[in-house]
Amino acid sequence: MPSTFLGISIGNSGLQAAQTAENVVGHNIANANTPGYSEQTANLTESYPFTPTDGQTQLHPGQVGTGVSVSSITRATDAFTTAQLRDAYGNQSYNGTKQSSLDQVQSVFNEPSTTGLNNALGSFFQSFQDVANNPEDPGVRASVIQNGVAVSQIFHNMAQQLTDVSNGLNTRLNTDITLLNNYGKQIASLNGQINQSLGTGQQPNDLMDQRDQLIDAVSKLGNVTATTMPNGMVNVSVGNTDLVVGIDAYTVDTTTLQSNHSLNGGEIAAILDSQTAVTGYQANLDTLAGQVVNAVNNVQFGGSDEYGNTGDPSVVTNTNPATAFFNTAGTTASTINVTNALQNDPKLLAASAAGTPGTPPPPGDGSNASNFAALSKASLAGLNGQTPQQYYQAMVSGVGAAASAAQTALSSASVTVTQLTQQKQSVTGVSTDDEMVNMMKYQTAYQAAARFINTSNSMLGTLINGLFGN
Amino acid sequence: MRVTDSMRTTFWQSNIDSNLTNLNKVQQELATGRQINQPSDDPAGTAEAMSIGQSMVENKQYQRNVTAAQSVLSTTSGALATVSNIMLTARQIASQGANSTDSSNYQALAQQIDALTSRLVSVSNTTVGGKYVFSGTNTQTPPYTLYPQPPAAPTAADDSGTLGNFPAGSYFVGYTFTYPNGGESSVSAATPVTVATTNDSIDVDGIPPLPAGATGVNVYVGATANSMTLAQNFASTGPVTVTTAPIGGAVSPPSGIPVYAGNSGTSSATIGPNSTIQTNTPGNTIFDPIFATLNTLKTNLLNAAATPPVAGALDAISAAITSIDSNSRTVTTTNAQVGAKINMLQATSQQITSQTTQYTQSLSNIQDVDLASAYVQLQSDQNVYQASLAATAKAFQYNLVNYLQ
Repeated sequence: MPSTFLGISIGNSGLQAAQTAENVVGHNIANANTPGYSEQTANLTESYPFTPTDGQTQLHPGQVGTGVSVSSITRATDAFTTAQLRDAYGNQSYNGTKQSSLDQVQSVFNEPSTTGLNNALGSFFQSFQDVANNPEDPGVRASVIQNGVAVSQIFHNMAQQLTDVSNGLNTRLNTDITLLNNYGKQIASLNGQINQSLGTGQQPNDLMDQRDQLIDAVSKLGNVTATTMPNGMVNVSVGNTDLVVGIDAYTVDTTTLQSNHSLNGGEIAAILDSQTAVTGYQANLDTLAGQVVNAVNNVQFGGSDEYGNTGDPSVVTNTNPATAFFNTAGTTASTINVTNALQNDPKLLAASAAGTPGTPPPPGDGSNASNFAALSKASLAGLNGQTPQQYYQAMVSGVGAAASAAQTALSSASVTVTQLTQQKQSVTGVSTDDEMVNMMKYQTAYQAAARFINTSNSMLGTLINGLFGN
Repeated sequence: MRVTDSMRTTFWQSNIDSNLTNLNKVQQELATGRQINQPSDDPAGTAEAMSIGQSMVENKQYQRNVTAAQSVLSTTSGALATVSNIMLTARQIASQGANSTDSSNYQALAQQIDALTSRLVSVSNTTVGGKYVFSGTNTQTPPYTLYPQPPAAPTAADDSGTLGNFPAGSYFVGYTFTYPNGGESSVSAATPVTVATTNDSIDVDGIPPLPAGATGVNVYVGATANSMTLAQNFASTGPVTVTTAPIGGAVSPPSGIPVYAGNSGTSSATIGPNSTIQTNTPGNTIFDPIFATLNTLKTNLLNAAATPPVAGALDAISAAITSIDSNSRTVTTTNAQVGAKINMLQATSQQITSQTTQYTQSLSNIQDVDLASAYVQLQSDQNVYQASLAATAKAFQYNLVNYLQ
């Protein structure tokens, strides 16, 4: 025989369930725009039934329900898409970072333009022909020397700017490593809290959302693997390097991340790759500067200046050696420099053919100046048989191609991210329309439950008043 | 597919973003007028643009070289034309001399030849931009100097060899001479000699001794080693100790053959890849024989003027006409070569100009924006962008909330 008040109790369970469900709806609506929020659902189940015995037959006609209960509140998840999205995040931030650093390198080269190294080198070599035309004119010599100074200044600027790019990448790398370790600690701490909540039978949906978001953030720094353990904790590794195992966070650095060559996505990998690329460009630029220095000096030593000085000063048997055009010690982009002696005395430019050392050549002999000019067409063995400008052009074109490839990869990765985000949000996002419908549904359910209690109450009233009334 | 709110915002946002990116790119292209603003815009085009830029810098230089060569060559050509005219006059004088019977005429003709020599020297000293065009690569030295009058008529000579009547100062002394085998050379004293008092004499003892048999000795005096002028011509057959021969007395009119002070060095201009052209004309091949011819002619005219006339003088004057003709041919041939070079340079210059135009065109094709299509693209991108904005505004107008009372 069921309790007389079973009806009221059933009605009460309906009221409470509707209220809880309505609260979940409210939570969903409130968090409709919260990043990383997953839609939550109140899962309703009928409560444990009661088996009444018929008062007259003493038989069991069947079970009577005792109402409804909220068995759990769960969040919508899509583990597969989430993992895919993290790969896509890694890919996107890898290419994005690479593209932005190559963009900086490109702006260092400042080509194609009339103010870049290409033009400066060309004008430098060609202006020697003015000396060939007018070897007597000290002004023409001085202007060639100034063109050399301009070339070396452009080299200096580019070297400095490449160093700046490299330093900027370093700063960013350090920040990223710090961030990565912070994320690791937060994830480990959330693992602990989630594990505790699950232990007490609770579903820590919001903590799980937070943890997912942190793992998403990690995925933008490196290629992440997140494995959910049966105890609800998530183990996180970057490449093959463990970041979080259970409630332990491991401190990682560049060395540990690179140790097993498994880091291939995300911003950190992009920074490391970009640093390698920038180092390569610096080395190329240094090679170019060094080869220009050597080639120009060799021509300078092979001619005779206005005083009749000729030959390499480093050869001790040369009695009246020429003065170097570029400092022989400065053979990198940052150290290439026109010698002060030459800048102070343009007559030291070896524009004439070599004659007897110490005997001034005829003032109108500009034949060696033509040899300087011919350097612009000279294939230099140190530049893989290319002319200085060909070498530089190939270099710039290479940077451009790399940047362009990164740009293309970035836009395709961004499209993937957008698509996967759509896909994930389709499952885990909040639809206010849905929530409105749910809201009305639970409102109606609440109203009906209240009406049911009212009816039960009046039924009880009938009983009580009928028995004891009048 | 279930559509959620955040899906829709992501969708609209990313589309507006990408439309705006497209629009921005076209706007940037139009603002700079270039479709290659950085190498990644077109890596291959960048390399090509840089290579064409290099060729344009080279062409600009070739054009400058051509202009410089043209100015040297046209000046040379003009000077050579003047030389031809002078030679015509010389020929007329020579034929007058050959046909004249009036002995008093010869002296005047000899003076005219002197005048022609002096004009030739000044023509040989033609300069372009401060460079003597006929000096080989010795461009800062005049190729020929006219034997000047002595600084002042020397009035005193002593048996130790002095030249008299110089203003007080420091003088370099030197001389030129002809070797017995015909070769010419010059020597000068290493240190200057000092004249303490004006009108004092210069002691020429410091001059190194002449080789045996030297003839045609000319003594030069000057304030610097490079500006010596002829002070005295010795008829000596040296070694000149200058102690025996009295020095001094006017040497008038000046005599002797101007000596080439330039060299045979050539200078050339680069007027294209692997293409050079010789721009200068060392003057000795042209002027040396002419001066020799004129000197011979003058000597023979003077010989003919002498009383009695030196035997064979008239024949020699006739022979000079043949020499003058031969010299003129050399001048004309050289000038024709120079003219051919000038013509070639004109053609080269035109070629460079048209090539530069072509380069400019190609460069523009590679790196400049096609304005028409860029404007069309801009319009289209603007339309798409506006449409996406309008659609976004509409898309978020409706929600179930609007209909709940």
